[in-house]
This record gives sequence, C-alpha cells and structure tokens, in this order.
Amino acid sequence: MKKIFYTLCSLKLAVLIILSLALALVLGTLIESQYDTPTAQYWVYQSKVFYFLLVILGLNIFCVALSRFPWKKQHFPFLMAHFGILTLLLGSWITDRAGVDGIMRLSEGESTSVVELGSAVLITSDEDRVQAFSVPWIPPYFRFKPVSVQLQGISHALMIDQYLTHADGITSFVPRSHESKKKQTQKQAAVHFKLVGGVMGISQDIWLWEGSPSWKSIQLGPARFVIGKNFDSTVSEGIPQFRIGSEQDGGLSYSAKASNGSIQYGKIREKSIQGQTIQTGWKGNPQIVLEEWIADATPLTVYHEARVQYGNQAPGSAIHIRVSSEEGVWIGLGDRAVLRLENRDVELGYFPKRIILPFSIRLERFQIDYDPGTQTPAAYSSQVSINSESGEKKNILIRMNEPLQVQGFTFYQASYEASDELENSRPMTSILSVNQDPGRICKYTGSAWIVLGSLFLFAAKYRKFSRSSRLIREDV
Amino acid sequence: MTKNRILVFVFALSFMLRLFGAWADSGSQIAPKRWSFVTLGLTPVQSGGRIKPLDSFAREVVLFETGSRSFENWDSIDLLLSWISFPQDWGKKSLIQVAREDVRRQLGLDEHRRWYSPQELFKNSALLQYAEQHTGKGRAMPEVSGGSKVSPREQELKAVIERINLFHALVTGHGWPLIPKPSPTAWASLADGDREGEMIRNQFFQVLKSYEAQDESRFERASLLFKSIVLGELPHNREILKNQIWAELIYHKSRPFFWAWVFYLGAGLMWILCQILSRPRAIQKVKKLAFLLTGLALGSHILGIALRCFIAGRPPVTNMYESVMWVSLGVMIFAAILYWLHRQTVILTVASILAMLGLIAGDAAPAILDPSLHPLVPVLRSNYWLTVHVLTITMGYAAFALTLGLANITLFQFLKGKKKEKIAGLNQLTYRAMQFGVILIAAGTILGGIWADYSWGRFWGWDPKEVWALVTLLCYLVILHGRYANWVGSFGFAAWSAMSFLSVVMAWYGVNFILGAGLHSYGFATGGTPWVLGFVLLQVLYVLGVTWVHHRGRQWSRLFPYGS
Repeated sequence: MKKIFYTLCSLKLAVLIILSLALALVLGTLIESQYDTPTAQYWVYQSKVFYFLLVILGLNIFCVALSRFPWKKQHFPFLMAHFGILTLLLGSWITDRAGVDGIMRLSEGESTSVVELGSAVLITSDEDRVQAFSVPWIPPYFRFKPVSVQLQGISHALMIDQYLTHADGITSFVPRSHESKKKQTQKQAAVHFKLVGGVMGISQDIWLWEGSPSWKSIQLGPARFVIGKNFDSTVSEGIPQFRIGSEQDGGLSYSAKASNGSIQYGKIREKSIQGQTIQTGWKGNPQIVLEEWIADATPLTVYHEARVQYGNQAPGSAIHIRVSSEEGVWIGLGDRAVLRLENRDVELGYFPKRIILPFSIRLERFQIDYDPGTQTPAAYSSQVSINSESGEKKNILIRMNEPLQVQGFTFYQASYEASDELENSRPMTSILSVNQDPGRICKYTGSAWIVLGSLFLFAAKYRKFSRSSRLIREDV
Repeated sequence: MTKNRILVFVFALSFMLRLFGAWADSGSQIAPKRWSFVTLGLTPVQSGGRIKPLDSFAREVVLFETGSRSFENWDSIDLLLSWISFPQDWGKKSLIQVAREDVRRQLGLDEHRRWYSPQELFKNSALLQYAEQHTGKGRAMPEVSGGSKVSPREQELKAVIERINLFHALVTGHGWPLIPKPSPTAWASLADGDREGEMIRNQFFQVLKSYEAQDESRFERASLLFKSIVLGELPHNREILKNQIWAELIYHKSRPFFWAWVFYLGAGLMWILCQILSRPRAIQKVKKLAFLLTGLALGSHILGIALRCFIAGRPPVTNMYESVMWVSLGVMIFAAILYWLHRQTVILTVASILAMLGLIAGDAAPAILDPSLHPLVPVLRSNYWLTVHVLTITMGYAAFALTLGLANITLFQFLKGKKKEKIAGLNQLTYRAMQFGVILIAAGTILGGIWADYSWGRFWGWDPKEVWALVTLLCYLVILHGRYANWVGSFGFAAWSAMSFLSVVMAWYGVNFILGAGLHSYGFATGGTPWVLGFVLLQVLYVLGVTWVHHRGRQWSRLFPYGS
C-alpha cells in the first residue's frame, strides 16, 4: 500500500505523465492536420488512454499534496497551484458528463426549441413505445463491430451490421409493400428512365417520384423532367421540359416541350412500357428509354463509402440494419425507414441526438454587415425572440462575441447558411451554438488558483535565492 | 470576390490585347521623378475595407504587384501615376512578380526570371485557362467552419491573376477608389460614372495632366486642391480620420522599425564589446553608449507599435508581422526587468540581438510577413478578452525567446571552458526568464479558454493552437520539475531550455503556417518555412554540437543523471 502511494506521489511519475501527455497532444494535432477534427478527437482527445493519463495525473497531484501533510505555511503556493490543476480537471469532467454542447439551426421566420448534439442515435418506434439507442462515431476505414439492438416487446433482435462514417447514397424506388399501405391511401408512382444521346452524348439514369417535391421535378443540365399530369409551371419559358404520367387505362402519357415552345405528345400502352424509346425533339435530339414504371413506389436508398472521407466536405454517416437473416435496410443520418417485424411496423430513425429546450426561439432576421467597400463580412447577427411559459421576449440581438443567456443556456452566433449560392439571398439560416456548462465555476476557480499559485511559488523561490548565496547545484 | 476578379480577368484579356496591339511605341518617359508626393499621399482613399492615405494604398499596391517595397527606386505614388499615364510603356516592363518557381514552370515561363511584363502574362494561355476553370470556385465561408486548404502553389497562381487584374484596373481607372461614399458603400472609382464624383474626377485628371507635363509646381497645386476636395466630401468623423491619416503617413515615411533594428544592432555590438573589454574605465564608456543606443532603439520600437495601434485602432497583435514586432518588444521588456533585478549586462546583450533579429525578419520579408494593416475578421473584433489573451500569450513567447537566448549563451560558456560561477549565474537568469514565460503562457492559455468560453461557448476544445500552447507549457514544466528534483545538472538545464523553444516555434509559427488546421484559421498563411526550418536545424545542431564537445570522453548518461 505504502509502496503504491509512494509511486503515485513520485516526481518521476509526474514527469513521465507530463511527457506522455505532451506526446499525445502532438500526435493529436498531427492527426487533425492530416485528417480532420473528429478523427483526432476519436484517436486522441476522447480516447481511453488519454482519459487514463489525465486520471493518473490527477491521482499523482492529489497524492503529492497528501504526502506533504501536515501542511505548513510554506506549502501554500505549491498546494494552491496543484489543487488548481485538480479543480480544473474536475471542472472538465463535470462539463464532459453533464454539460450541453450543441447547435441550433434557425431559418428566418421559423421557430424551434431543438438543439442538435454531436452524437447520433437510432430511434425505434412501434405501436406501443419509442426507444433510443446511441450510435457511437467511428473513424473512416475503421473496422466496425456489429451491434445488436434488443427492442422491448419484440423477440427478434435488430442488428446494426454496417456503419459508414461518411456515406454517399444512391436512391432508387421499389413497389410499396402491402402491409405498410394502410397509412397512406394515395398511390405514389415512380418512373425510371435513361437519357441517351444529346449534344454531349450522355447516358444518364433518372428516377422521378410523386412522393416528394424534390423528386417530382428534376433539373438535369438544361432540361427539366417532371412526373404527373402537368408541366412544372415554376420553370420559366424556353427551358425544355419532359413530362410523364399515368392514364386511366393503366398506360402512360408523355409530352416533351422544346425550347422554342413546340410540344410533342405521346401515349404508351401498359404492356410496352419497358424498353420504350421516346424522341424528345430537343436540340441534339436526346432520347428517353423507359426502364420501369411503378404505380405505387417507395424510395430505397443504398449507401456506399463517400469519395470524400475527411474534412468539412465529407457527408454524414449511414448505418445498415438487419433483422436476423433477412435483407436489411440502409438509413442515412437524418432519415427514416420502416421494417416489418412480427406483424408490426417498426419505424426506425437515425438522427443526431437532440434535446428539447423548455422554451423556443424564433429567428426574425439574420444580418451580415460588410467592411466598407468590400465583400468581407465584418459582423454576423441574429435578431430573435424567445417564447417561454413566462411570456415572450422580443427583439434580442445575438452577435459574434455577444451571446444570449436564457435559463442557464447560452446561445452564440456560430455560422450561417444561405439558401442559395448567392450571399444575402433569403431566407437565411442562422446557426447558433448552444451551451450549458455546469463545470464552468470549477474551471474558472481552478484557473485562478493555478496562476496565482505559480506566481507565489516563483516569488517564494526568488526570495529564497536572494537570501542564500548558494546558486543552483553544480554537478558538471 | 475572387470569382468576380477572375471574370474581370477573362473579360479584360480581349480588351487589353486589342489595346496593346494598337499602341505605337511612344518615347520612353518613364523615369522616377524626385518630387515630393506628400500632399497627394495624404489624400484619403478607401481600400481593403478601411480608409487610408493614398500613400499607404500605393505602397500596398506596389508591394503586391512587384513583391518589393521600392520597385527600382520608385516612390510608390510616382509609380502608380506613371502606370496610369504611360500604360503602353509599362505594359512591356517586367514588373509583375511570379514568386514561386513551380508556378512559373506551370505557366511555361522562364524559371529563372522573377518579374514579367503585364503583356507577357496577358498572352499566357495557361494562365487564361486556369482563370477560366476557376470562375466557379472561391466562395468564402465564415471562419468558424474552417474551410478547405488551398495549396501555396494555387494561392500564388490566384495572386498572379489578381496582380494582372489590379494592374489592368489601375491603368483603366477602375482601381482608384477616390470618390467618397457614405460607409458601408464602396467608394466610386475614377472610371465610374456617378455625377457626384465629377469634381473629384476632373481634379484628379488635372493632377495627372500636370504629372505628364512634368510640371512640379503645377502638380503640387493640383494635388493640394484635389486633396481638399476629397477631404470636403468625407462622410463622417473627419477629424479623427485626418489624424489617423497623418499618423499613417508618418509611420510609413519614418520607418520606425527599420531605425529600431539599426539601433539594436549598434547597441548589441556595444554590449558585446562590454563583455569582451577588461579595463573598467573603457567598459564604463562603452556601457554608456550602449545604454544610449538601446534607449533609442526602444524608443523607435515603441513609437512604431504605438503608431500602428493608433492607425488601426486595435492592439498590435493580429497577424504574424505584428506579433513578431510585439514579441521583440516583449523580449526587451523582460530584459529590462531582469536587468533591474540582477544588474547583469549579458541580459541586455542577448535581448538587443534577439530584438534586432526579430525586427530584421519583419523588415526583410514583407511578402511573407505582411506589414499592411487589414481589418479584422468578425470573431476577433471588439473583444476585451481576446486582447488580454493574445497579449499575454505573446509576452510568454517573448520570455521564452529570452530564455532561449540566455540558454544559448550559457552553452557557449560551456564551449569556452568551465567557469562554474558564471554558468551558474547565467542559469539562474535563464531560470528566471523561464518562470516569467511559464506563468504568462499558463495565464495566456487560460485566458484563451475564457475568451473561447465567452465567444464560442466552450472553455477548451482541443484546437491545435490551444493544444500547442499547452504542449509548450508542459515542455517547460518538465524542465522545471526536473530541475527541482536535481535530475538535470546545469548543462542539462541549459541544453533542454534551448531545445524547448522549438515547441514555441511550433505553437507560434507551425500551427498557422505548417499544420494549417483548426479554429485559428484567421491566422493561416504560407511562406518562410525554409527559414524557420533552417533556424530549427541550426538550433538543434548547435545544442548537439555543444553537448558532444562538452561530453567528449564522458558517459552520455551524464546528461540524464537520474538518482545522482
């Protein structure tokens, strides 16, 4: 016991830990520079080894302080500096455990109380209950160990058997299964065709689907493709359009409008849909080859490793979920899927972990000011109003370096997104970072002790040096 | 911004080619005039996001275009006036710098030439192709989100394109932002067609006419009238602006940092003489002279920094250039304190030399350490904690720089032979300087945490700059603890103190210039790497060399005398 204590309070251990910490930190910055921040966080700053080093450091300092017991007046500066480090470490630990550090996205005119945290969760909901399972982040190309997820009330285990840190999705459509049709009665058709030829000699696969606005009408190069009864009326004149939709008799009708306004119509019988070739009559005369028509379709996205694996440009993660031996389903971050399990629909969602604040914030206006005569931003600010039980507060300005504090949460202007490529195009989305830090007081106290303690420590050494004529030890 | 400029380039190309073809060879009138351009230089213009004297504008333009502060001994304003007056002659002169060899190779230019004429570059098809390819790129993101890295080669390519654009803008009049508009609007240029600016425009053409006519007195009168018209049009707080413009002109004309290093050089030599001389009376005389020179140097050094603060209206540490100037001053401050405590002239010797080296580095490489004054990115503005944090951290660097200097002198004493007392005294000084450094770097890092907490909402985020400050602190803490436990003797202490400065080099320079990652992206830049690596290599070789000489015939373990 005594031996362990002496080892723990030895100076050799202290120097060893300081050196290993320094090495680990150097490694961390190198990884960050070579790859990106999450990777460095995973391998160094959030790693178990690093935590272990910090714990040993804390123990070491604590034991050294104990070993000087009973404390005398001259120990005061030493104790102050070293207990300062302990307090700082404690504060960091509290922040790590109980703090909130997330972001809030606010579009102009919208109101929200959702704060997104960094980590991701798998949320399952069947008819009875909602459950959440956290999905840890793993760096790219790192072997993923399958995780089984046991839902309450269901005997089959779900299995997260694949994880992609940064995934690109390819979406296609499949016929909607029988069971899940109950909820939505309206049919949502999908069409799959190939665009061949044209000026550039391209060959491109295209899916259109009635189920969502972003799939219903697609811009590809200079032309617009629409599924449904009518052309897309939001598109300006002079842009070539192709429309395809179903008829009463089960067949299809299509129309192709060229840039000069001339329109070609056509009909296709139900049996001859597949492989049918349609002449568009556009410049370069590209052809459309029909591949498939699904009267009632649902999207199916398959993910694969993204081309960009590091940095800000890398896309979000995706997981693959399997039920026992059956074929599974891919879910990208922010998406949902439905699985049929034991005669029940289980809805799965893979989302950033979020917390709901007890009040909501509404963004009135986001503003960028520029340096005079340039396009260099000088300041960002969000004008918000807060809605809580105690009433509404209006016209609050959050600026860079001027955060807003509400009920223990602090909101900082972090960044922004313009809805278009153009700056200042409306509406703008303001990104606030949201923070709650219960360890703050410990960190500040600890910091003050460290600085004051070292000051006293060095001042005391200086007095000692002045008093005695003995200089530092001569052993060389 | 970049996108627009590149578009302008593509557009300008056809225009310029036609123009060059049409121009006949008029007799060369382009020789520097030895006139005073002060009156014209005091006229305010708006460029780079702030209002500055025409003098500074011209200096920045010339530095950017040619990479040199005085292109063939031209006054900067003279040169700009000559460009707009005789564009046909200047179109053929090699004046635009292409700084990187790999860029020259890529553009198929002569690798051994550094400067090229606007015409040569305009006709360069590789450059045109690059400009066309990159018209879609270059939307700046807010600095919090970081951003993708651009290689130094690509940066230089873009700079070359911008240089051509700027030259074109200057000779066509677009590049002269002379007509005041109320703030945040951009000032109108000579080539714009707004009616309010008609008077200013006409007067400037009078200035140009008198310049072309080589009539100095008429030029002076026209400049004076021009200046007063522009000043009359200024939208607001005219008085402060006038003072700042005066200060900026004085700052540029007097070159306080240049004089500072000249004085430091003299002072350093005198202090060295003090160490060598043995006759007390001679020492006294030299010492007086050394004090005088040090005082002069410090005076102009402080004046320079104070002027910069006043002109920019902010503390003087927001880019590498300013931090080098400030750290050099910090070294002198600590040296003064230590001298006051210990009365050892060796401190002032070391400090003068270090300050001189710092100032020379800033003065000699304006293309790497950019001396022009720029507005700050949003996150750095109007922040009390930021100011305190940066000033503290850089003061810590200064203390460690002094530690390095003293440790190197100690090592030199080991080379010369053993004078135990002298070495022990030197080590004591090194130790003292190190203490200053440790406290300041600890306090500065913590203050950085407080600032980050205040403006980003987190105390500590393992950002590379933060981490390297911590690494620096840990390195010096190891030495302090090792010394406390008597594991390092006086030689080891000096050697490790010198080596630990490499962590400061990394924290100060390396994170911004080599790693280029993290939240401190507003400080990122490139260049100067060979010089810094050269310094690091020299320092390591020096320490290793001294160690080898000192420990010849002994056991290496004496460097780490554990348990002795």
